[in-house]
Amino acid sequence: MKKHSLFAVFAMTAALFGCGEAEKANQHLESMDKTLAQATKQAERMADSIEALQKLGVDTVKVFNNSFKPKPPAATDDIEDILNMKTEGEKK
Amino acid sequence: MKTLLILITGFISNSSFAAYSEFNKQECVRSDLNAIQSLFTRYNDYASMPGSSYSIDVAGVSFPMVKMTKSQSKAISATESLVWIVLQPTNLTDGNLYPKFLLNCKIDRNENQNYFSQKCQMVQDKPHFGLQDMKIEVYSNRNSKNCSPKESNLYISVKITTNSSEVLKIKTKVLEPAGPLASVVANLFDESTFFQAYFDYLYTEWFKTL
Repeated sequence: MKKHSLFAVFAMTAALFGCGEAEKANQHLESMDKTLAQATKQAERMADSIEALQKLGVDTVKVFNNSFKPKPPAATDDIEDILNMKTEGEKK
Repeated sequence: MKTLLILITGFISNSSFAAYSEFNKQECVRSDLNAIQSLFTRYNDYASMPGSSYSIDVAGVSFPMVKMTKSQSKAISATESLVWIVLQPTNLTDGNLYPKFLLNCKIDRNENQNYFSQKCQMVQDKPHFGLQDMKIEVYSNRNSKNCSPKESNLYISVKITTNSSEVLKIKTKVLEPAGPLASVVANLFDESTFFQAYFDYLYTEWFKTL
Protein backbone atom coordinates (compact mmCIF):
# COMPACT_ATOMS: atom_id res chain seq x y z
CA MET A 1 0.00 0.00 0.00
CA LYS A 2 2.78 2.34 1.02
CA LYS A 3 4.70 1.46 -2.13
CA HIS A 4 1.65 2.19 -4.24
CA SER A 5 1.20 5.59 -2.61
CA LEU A 6 4.83 6.44 -3.18
CA PHE A 7 4.56 5.38 -6.78
CA ALA A 8 1.44 7.51 -7.21
CA VAL A 9 3.22 10.56 -5.75
CA PHE A 10 6.22 9.92 -7.98
CA ALA A 11 4.02 9.54 -11.05
CA MET A 12 2.11 12.73 -10.25
CA THR A 13 5.35 14.66 -9.70
CA ALA A 14 6.75 13.37 -12.99
CA ALA A 15 3.51 14.28 -14.77
CA LEU A 16 3.54 17.78 -13.26
CA PHE A 17 7.20 18.22 -14.19
CA GLY A 18 6.37 17.08 -17.72
CA CYS A 19 3.51 19.56 -17.90
CA GLY A 20 5.82 22.32 -16.67
CA GLU A 21 8.39 21.55 -19.37
CA ALA A 22 5.70 21.36 -22.04
CA GLU A 23 4.28 24.65 -20.83
CA LYS A 24 7.76 26.26 -21.02
CA ALA A 25 8.30 24.96 -24.55
CA ASN A 26 4.87 26.21 -25.50
CA GLN A 27 5.57 29.66 -24.09
CA HIS A 28 8.87 29.73 -25.98
CA LEU A 29 7.12 28.88 -29.25
CA GLU A 30 4.42 31.46 -28.61
CA SER A 31 7.06 34.12 -27.93
CA MET A 32 8.87 33.22 -31.18
CA ASP A 33 5.62 33.31 -33.14
CA LYS A 34 4.78 36.70 -31.68
CA THR A 35 8.20 38.13 -32.60
CA LEU A 36 7.96 36.74 -36.12
CA ALA A 37 4.43 38.04 -36.56
CA GLN A 38 5.43 41.52 -35.38
CA ALA A 39 8.44 41.61 -37.72
CA THR A 40 6.37 40.38 -40.67
CA LYS A 41 3.67 42.91 -39.95
CA GLN A 42 6.21 45.73 -39.80
CA ALA A 43 7.90 44.65 -43.04
CA GLU A 44 4.51 44.39 -44.78
CA ARG A 45 3.46 47.84 -43.60
CA MET A 46 6.81 49.23 -44.70
CA ALA A 47 6.67 47.55 -48.11
CA ASP A 48 3.10 48.78 -48.66
CA SER A 49 4.08 52.34 -47.79
CA ILE A 50 7.14 52.23 -50.06
CA GLU A 51 5.08 50.89 -52.93
CA ALA A 52 2.50 53.62 -52.39
CA LEU A 53 5.20 56.28 -52.46
CA GLN A 54 6.78 54.80 -55.57
CA LYS A 55 3.41 54.92 -57.30
CA LEU A 56 3.29 58.62 -56.44
CA GLY A 57 6.63 59.04 -58.18
CA VAL A 58 8.79 59.30 -55.05
CA ASP A 59 12.21 57.75 -55.63
CA THR A 60 12.32 55.99 -52.28
CA VAL A 61 15.78 54.51 -52.79
CA LYS A 62 17.24 57.95 -53.44
CA VAL A 63 15.42 59.49 -50.46
CA PHE A 64 16.52 56.61 -48.25
CA ASN A 65 20.11 56.87 -49.35
CA ASN A 66 20.18 60.60 -48.79
CA SER A 67 18.29 60.61 -45.50
CA PHE A 68 19.71 57.52 -43.87
CA LYS A 69 23.29 57.53 -44.96
CA PRO A 70 25.23 55.95 -42.10
CA LYS A 71 27.15 58.62 -40.24
CA PRO A 72 30.15 58.23 -37.95
CA PRO A 73 29.15 57.84 -34.30
CA ALA A 74 29.43 60.76 -31.93
CA ALA A 75 31.94 60.68 -29.10
CA THR A 76 30.40 59.13 -26.01
CA ASP A 77 31.51 58.50 -22.44
CA ASP A 78 33.93 55.68 -21.79
CA ILE A 79 33.35 53.08 -19.12
CA GLU A 80 35.76 54.80 -16.75
CA ASP A 81 33.69 58.00 -16.94
CA ILE A 82 30.53 56.02 -16.26
CA LEU A 83 32.00 54.17 -13.30
CA ASN A 84 33.16 57.44 -11.79
CA MET A 85 29.62 58.80 -11.85
CA LYS A 86 27.97 57.85 -8.60
CA THR A 87 24.36 57.94 -9.72
CA GLU A 88 22.36 58.56 -12.84
CA GLY A 89 21.13 61.79 -11.30
CA GLU A 90 24.66 63.17 -11.21
CA LYS A 91 25.05 62.57 -14.94
CA LYS A 92 21.89 64.51 -15.75
CA MET B 1 -4.21 65.55 2.74
CA LYS B 2 -1.72 68.08 1.38
CA THR B 3 1.10 65.57 1.82
CA LEU B 4 -0.90 62.92 0.02
CA LEU B 5 -1.52 65.27 -2.91
CA ILE B 6 2.18 66.15 -3.08
CA LEU B 7 3.06 62.44 -3.03
CA ILE B 8 0.57 61.62 -5.80
CA THR B 9 1.72 64.57 -7.95
CA GLY B 10 5.33 63.55 -7.42
CA PHE B 11 4.56 59.95 -8.36
CA ILE B 12 2.75 60.97 -11.55
CA SER B 13 5.47 63.38 -12.66
CA ASN B 14 8.22 60.85 -12.00
CA SER B 15 6.55 57.85 -13.53
CA SER B 16 7.37 57.06 -17.15
CA PHE B 17 5.83 54.56 -19.49
CA ALA B 18 7.75 51.45 -20.34
CA ALA B 19 7.36 48.60 -22.78
CA TYR B 20 8.48 45.09 -21.98
CA SER B 21 9.59 42.50 -24.50
CA GLU B 22 11.48 39.25 -24.33
CA PHE B 23 12.73 36.46 -26.53
CA ASN B 24 14.46 33.12 -26.16
CA LYS B 25 16.67 31.11 -28.44
CA GLN B 26 17.74 27.52 -28.13
CA GLU B 27 19.98 25.64 -30.54
CA CYS B 28 22.38 22.74 -30.69
CA VAL B 29 25.75 24.13 -31.77
CA ARG B 30 28.92 22.36 -32.83
CA SER B 31 31.26 24.40 -30.63
CA ASP B 32 32.41 23.21 -27.23
CA LEU B 33 31.88 25.13 -23.99
CA ASN B 34 35.31 26.79 -24.20
CA ALA B 35 34.42 28.37 -27.54
CA ILE B 36 30.98 29.43 -26.27
CA GLN B 37 32.44 30.96 -23.13
CA SER B 38 35.12 32.71 -25.17
CA LEU B 39 32.53 34.26 -27.50
CA PHE B 40 30.18 35.49 -24.78
CA THR B 41 32.96 36.95 -22.63
CA ARG B 42 34.76 38.91 -25.36
CA TYR B 43 33.09 41.99 -23.94
CA ASN B 44 35.51 44.47 -25.50
CA ASP B 45 34.93 42.97 -28.95
CA TYR B 46 31.12 42.93 -28.96
CA ALA B 47 30.99 46.06 -31.17
CA SER B 48 33.14 44.47 -33.87
CA MET B 49 31.62 41.00 -33.77
CA PRO B 50 29.13 39.61 -36.33
CA GLY B 51 25.65 41.03 -35.93
CA SER B 52 26.73 44.31 -34.35
CA SER B 53 25.28 46.28 -37.29
CA TYR B 54 21.64 45.63 -37.97
CA SER B 55 19.95 46.57 -41.25
CA ILE B 56 16.68 45.44 -42.70
CA ASP B 57 15.84 44.98 -46.35
CA VAL B 58 12.37 46.02 -47.37
CA ALA B 59 11.21 46.25 -50.98
CA GLY B 60 14.79 46.21 -52.22
CA VAL B 61 15.93 48.97 -49.91
CA SER B 62 18.49 48.32 -47.21
CA PHE B 63 17.69 50.36 -44.14
CA PRO B 64 20.42 50.65 -41.49
CA MET B 65 18.62 50.36 -38.18
CA VAL B 66 21.17 50.36 -35.41
CA LYS B 67 24.76 49.44 -34.72
CA MET B 68 26.83 48.91 -31.62
CA THR B 69 29.50 51.58 -31.46
CA LYS B 70 31.02 50.87 -28.08
CA SER B 71 31.57 47.83 -25.88
CA GLN B 72 34.00 48.29 -23.03
CA SER B 73 34.48 46.20 -19.96
CA LYS B 74 36.05 46.30 -16.57
CA ALA B 75 36.71 43.07 -14.71
CA ILE B 76 35.59 42.98 -11.11
CA SER B 77 36.78 39.43 -10.58
CA ALA B 78 37.58 36.36 -12.67
CA THR B 79 33.88 35.69 -13.06
CA GLU B 80 32.31 39.15 -12.90
CA SER B 81 32.61 42.14 -15.26
CA LEU B 82 30.96 45.45 -15.91
CA VAL B 83 30.17 45.99 -19.58
CA TRP B 84 29.38 49.40 -21.09
CA ILE B 85 27.36 49.27 -24.30
CA VAL B 86 26.51 52.17 -26.62
CA LEU B 87 24.29 51.81 -29.70
CA GLN B 88 23.92 54.26 -32.57
CA PRO B 89 20.44 54.31 -34.11
CA THR B 90 20.71 54.61 -37.90
CA ASN B 91 21.99 58.10 -38.79
CA LEU B 92 22.00 59.84 -35.43
CA THR B 93 25.00 62.00 -34.60
CA ASP B 94 23.70 63.29 -31.28
CA GLY B 95 25.41 61.04 -28.74
CA ASN B 96 22.95 62.10 -26.02
CA LEU B 97 20.26 60.14 -27.86
CA TYR B 98 22.22 56.92 -28.21
CA PRO B 99 20.82 53.94 -26.32
CA LYS B 100 23.39 53.14 -23.68
CA PHE B 101 23.59 50.98 -20.60
CA LEU B 102 25.95 49.31 -18.19
CA LEU B 103 25.62 45.57 -17.64
CA ASN B 104 26.86 43.56 -14.72
CA CYS B 105 27.79 40.15 -16.12
CA LYS B 106 28.57 37.08 -14.06
CA ILE B 107 29.67 33.76 -15.45
CA ASP B 108 29.58 30.32 -13.95
CA ARG B 109 31.56 27.45 -15.38
CA ASN B 110 31.58 24.01 -13.93
CA GLU B 111 33.93 21.64 -15.71
CA ASN B 112 32.66 18.56 -13.89
CA GLN B 113 29.02 19.19 -14.60
CA ASN B 114 29.93 20.38 -18.06
CA TYR B 115 28.02 23.63 -18.22
CA PHE B 116 28.57 27.33 -18.74
CA SER B 117 26.21 30.12 -17.77
CA GLN B 118 26.27 33.88 -18.00
CA LYS B 119 23.86 36.29 -16.37
CA CYS B 120 23.90 39.99 -17.25
CA GLN B 121 21.74 42.57 -15.53
CA MET B 122 21.56 46.27 -16.30
CA VAL B 123 23.02 48.47 -13.55
CA GLN B 124 20.18 50.79 -12.63
CA ASP B 125 22.05 53.52 -10.77
CA LYS B 126 24.44 54.34 -13.61
CA PRO B 127 23.63 56.42 -16.70
CA HIS B 128 21.39 54.69 -19.19
CA PHE B 129 19.24 55.82 -22.09
CA GLY B 130 16.51 54.15 -24.14
CA LEU B 131 16.31 51.14 -21.88
CA GLN B 132 14.88 50.97 -18.40
CA ASP B 133 16.02 47.44 -17.71
CA MET B 134 17.72 44.55 -19.41
CA LYS B 135 18.47 41.01 -18.39
CA ILE B 136 20.37 38.42 -20.43
CA GLU B 137 20.73 34.80 -19.41
CA VAL B 138 22.88 32.34 -21.31
CA TYR B 139 23.06 28.68 -20.49
CA SER B 140 25.02 26.00 -22.30
CA ASN B 141 25.73 22.37 -21.54
CA ARG B 142 27.13 19.24 -23.12
CA ASN B 143 25.44 15.86 -22.95
CA SER B 144 22.03 17.35 -23.49
CA LYS B 145 19.34 14.90 -24.50
CA ASN B 146 18.20 17.49 -27.05
CA CYS B 147 21.52 17.49 -28.92
CA SER B 148 23.92 14.96 -30.40
CA PRO B 149 26.97 13.96 -28.30
CA LYS B 150 29.22 16.20 -30.40
CA GLU B 151 27.05 19.26 -29.88
CA SER B 152 26.41 21.74 -27.10
CA ASN B 153 22.97 22.84 -26.10
CA LEU B 154 22.87 26.66 -26.09
CA TYR B 155 19.99 28.67 -24.65
CA ILE B 156 19.65 32.41 -24.35
CA SER B 157 16.92 34.53 -22.83
CA VAL B 158 16.77 38.31 -23.27
CA LYS B 159 14.36 40.53 -21.35
CA ILE B 160 14.14 44.18 -22.26
CA THR B 161 12.19 47.06 -20.77
CA THR B 162 12.37 50.21 -22.86
CA ASN B 163 11.80 53.74 -21.62
CA SER B 164 8.96 54.99 -23.81
CA SER B 165 9.66 58.70 -23.52
CA GLU B 166 13.36 58.22 -24.31
CA VAL B 167 12.57 55.93 -27.26
CA LEU B 168 10.19 58.62 -28.55
CA LYS B 169 13.03 61.17 -28.43
CA ILE B 170 15.25 58.79 -30.45
CA LYS B 171 12.46 58.06 -32.91
CA THR B 172 11.65 61.74 -33.45
CA LYS B 173 15.29 62.56 -34.18
CA VAL B 174 15.70 59.53 -36.47
CA LEU B 175 12.66 60.51 -38.50
CA GLU B 176 13.67 64.18 -38.83
CA PRO B 177 15.68 63.91 -42.07
CA ALA B 178 13.24 61.46 -43.65
CA GLY B 179 10.93 64.14 -45.04
CA PRO B 180 8.17 62.45 -47.06
CA LEU B 181 9.32 59.03 -45.84
CA ALA B 182 8.92 59.83 -42.15
CA SER B 183 5.58 58.05 -41.87
CA VAL B 184 7.00 55.02 -43.68
CA VAL B 185 10.12 54.77 -41.56
CA ALA B 186 8.01 55.25 -38.44
CA ASN B 187 6.61 51.79 -39.14
CA LEU B 188 9.98 50.33 -38.24
CA PHE B 189 10.09 51.85 -34.83
CA ASP B 190 7.61 49.78 -32.93
CA GLU B 191 8.96 50.29 -29.44
CA SER B 192 8.50 46.75 -28.22
CA THR B 193 10.38 45.30 -31.17
CA PHE B 194 13.08 47.85 -31.94
CA PHE B 195 15.64 46.70 -29.37
CA GLN B 196 14.25 43.18 -29.43
CA ALA B 197 14.82 42.91 -33.19
CA TYR B 198 18.38 44.20 -32.79
CA PHE B 199 19.40 41.77 -30.07
CA ASP B 200 17.56 38.92 -31.73
CA TYR B 201 19.63 39.57 -34.87
CA LEU B 202 22.86 40.00 -32.88
CA TYR B 203 22.51 36.64 -31.12
CA THR B 204 21.34 34.90 -34.29
CA GLU B 205 24.61 35.96 -35.92
CA TRP B 206 26.61 34.82 -32.88
CA PHE B 207 24.90 31.45 -32.93
CA LYS B 208 25.93 31.04 -36.58
CA THR B 209 29.60 31.34 -35.63
CA LEU B 210 29.39 28.52 -33.10
